[in-house]
Amino acid sequence: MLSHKFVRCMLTLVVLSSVVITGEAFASPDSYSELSKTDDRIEYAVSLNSMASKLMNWYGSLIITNHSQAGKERTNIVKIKFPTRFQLWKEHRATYPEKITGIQIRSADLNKQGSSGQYEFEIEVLMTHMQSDKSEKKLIKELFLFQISDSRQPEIIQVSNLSPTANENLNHSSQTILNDLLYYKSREFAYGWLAYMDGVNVMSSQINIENWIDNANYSVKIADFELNEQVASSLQKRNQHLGKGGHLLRSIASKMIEGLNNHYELDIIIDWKGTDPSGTPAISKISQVIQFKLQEDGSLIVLSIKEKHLLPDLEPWQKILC
Amino acid sequence: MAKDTMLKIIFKLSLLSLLFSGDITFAEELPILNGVGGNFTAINTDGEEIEFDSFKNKIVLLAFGYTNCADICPITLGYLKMVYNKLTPEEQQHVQVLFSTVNPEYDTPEHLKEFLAYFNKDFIGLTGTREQADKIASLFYAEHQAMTTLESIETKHVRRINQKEVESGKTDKTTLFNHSVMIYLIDKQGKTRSLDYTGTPGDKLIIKIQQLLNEQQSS
Repeated sequence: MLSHKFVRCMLTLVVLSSVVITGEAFASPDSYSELSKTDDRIEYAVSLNSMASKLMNWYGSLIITNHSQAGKERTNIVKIKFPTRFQLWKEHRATYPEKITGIQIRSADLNKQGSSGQYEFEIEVLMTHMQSDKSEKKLIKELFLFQISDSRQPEIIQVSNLSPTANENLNHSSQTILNDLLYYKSREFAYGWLAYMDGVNVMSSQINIENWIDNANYSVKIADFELNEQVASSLQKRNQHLGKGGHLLRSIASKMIEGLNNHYELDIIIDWKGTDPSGTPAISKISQVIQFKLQEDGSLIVLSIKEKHLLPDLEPWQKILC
Repeated sequence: MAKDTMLKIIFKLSLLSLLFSGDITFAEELPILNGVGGNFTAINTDGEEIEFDSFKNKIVLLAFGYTNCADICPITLGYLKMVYNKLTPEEQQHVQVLFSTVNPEYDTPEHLKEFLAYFNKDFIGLTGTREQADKIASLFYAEHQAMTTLESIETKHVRRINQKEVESGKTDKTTLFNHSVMIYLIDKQGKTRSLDYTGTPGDKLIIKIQQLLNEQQSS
C-alpha cells in the first residue's frame, strides 16, 4: 500500500515539476514602477467595479418584478424595484422588449478611450420576455459609453445598438435563463461594495449605504490580524493594514437565508493585488460572506460581513497531499 | 522486481528535475501572500516552548510532515538539505529550516531532533499539543488528515528514517497521514512570500532566498 502511494505521489510531483521548471521570468521590482503599477491597478479596479455596478443596476431594472419563471424559492422578492434615475435609461428602454423576465450577459468587453476618462463597455445579452403569453428570446448587443468624473463617479453618457454576433435560433434553444432580480441586485451591490473598498462611493444613489455603514458588523481575519467592528471603522483599519491595492471580483454566489423574509447571504471571492504599507508587492485571495436584507424600494441593508484571507491560488500543485 | 525498477525510474526522474534547474538564474517578484501564516507557539526539538516571531530577522523555510512519513517528507527534507548546503555559511546564518509535525502525539522533541539530524543538525522541528500543531497548519492552510486509526500501524511496516526508542515489551505504533507538500518561504518580517515544493528547481529557490536576504528591512 505504501509503495503504491509513494509511486503515485512521486509521479505527480515529477510531472508537475517539469511544468514548473519552465516558469515565467519577472523583472525584479523597483519601488517607483511598483507604485505606479499599483496606481494603474487601482484605477482599473475602481473604474471596472463602479461601471459594472451601474450596468447591473441598468439590466436589473429592465426585469419585470412578478414573473413566475425565476423559481419557487425566489418568489418572495417580487416587489423589489431597481430605482432608475437616468434620463438615458428612460429613452433607451423602448429599444428593449416589453415584459423582460430574465437577462443573461453573454459577453462583456471594456476598453479605455485614451486619457479622456471615457470607457466603452461592449455588452451582449440574451433576454427572455413574454409576448402574448408566450416566452420569447432576444439577443441584444450594445455599446455603453461611460464618462468617469473627476470625483471618479461613472456616468453612462451614450448607449448604441450593435449587431449581435450569434446566429443561432434562440427560440429553439432549451436553455433557461434564471438571471433574475436577485442576480442583478447581488452583483450591483457586490461591484459597488468593491469600488467602495477602493475609495469610490457609487452606492449612495443605488444601495443607500448610509443606512448600514455605521451599524453592520464587519469581521476581518488576515493571518493573525483580526478585527470585529462596525463596517466603517473595520474597513479603515483593514485598508491601513493591507496597504494600497485594487479589488477584483472573482466569484459570487447568493442564497436566501432560511426562515427570514428577504434576507440573503452573498458569498464572494475577491482578488486583491497591491503593495503593503512598506511598498512591498502583496496579494490576497479574500472570502467575504455578506448577509443583507433587501428592501422593497430596491435598497439593501447589510447586516454583517465576515472576511477571511485565504491561500492564494498560485501553483497547480499546491493542493496536492502526499 | 517490477516495483523496484519503477521506483528507480521515478527516483532518477525526480533527481533529473532537480538537476535540470541548474541554468535558471532569473529573479522573481515575491509578493507578500496576505493571510498565509502568522505567529504561533510550539515546542522545538530542544523541548523549549518557542514563538514563531522569534525567527524574525531570518528567512524561514517551513515544511509540514511527520517522522514516519514514507512518502514525501524524506524527499522534501533531502531537497531542503541540498538547497541549504548550496548557501554560503554567511547566508546559512540568516536562514532557518523549520519542520512542523502533523503527528505531535508521536513526534516527541527528542525523536524529531534525531530524525532531522539525518538531514541537517541546523534544522529545527516543531511539535507540541495537537491543538498547537493544528493551529500552525491552519495558519498556513497546510492540509493534513489521518489516513488510519490513531496509533494503529506498527512502525516496523513503515519505511522510516529512524526508529523511536520505546519501552521494552511495547510495540511501536503510529498513525499515517496525508499532508501538504508545500514549502513556505517566509521573509524577515515573518511574511509568507512564496510557495514552493521539491519540484521547484533548487537554484530558483536559492535565488528567491537570496532576494529576500538582500531586501531592506522596513521600518
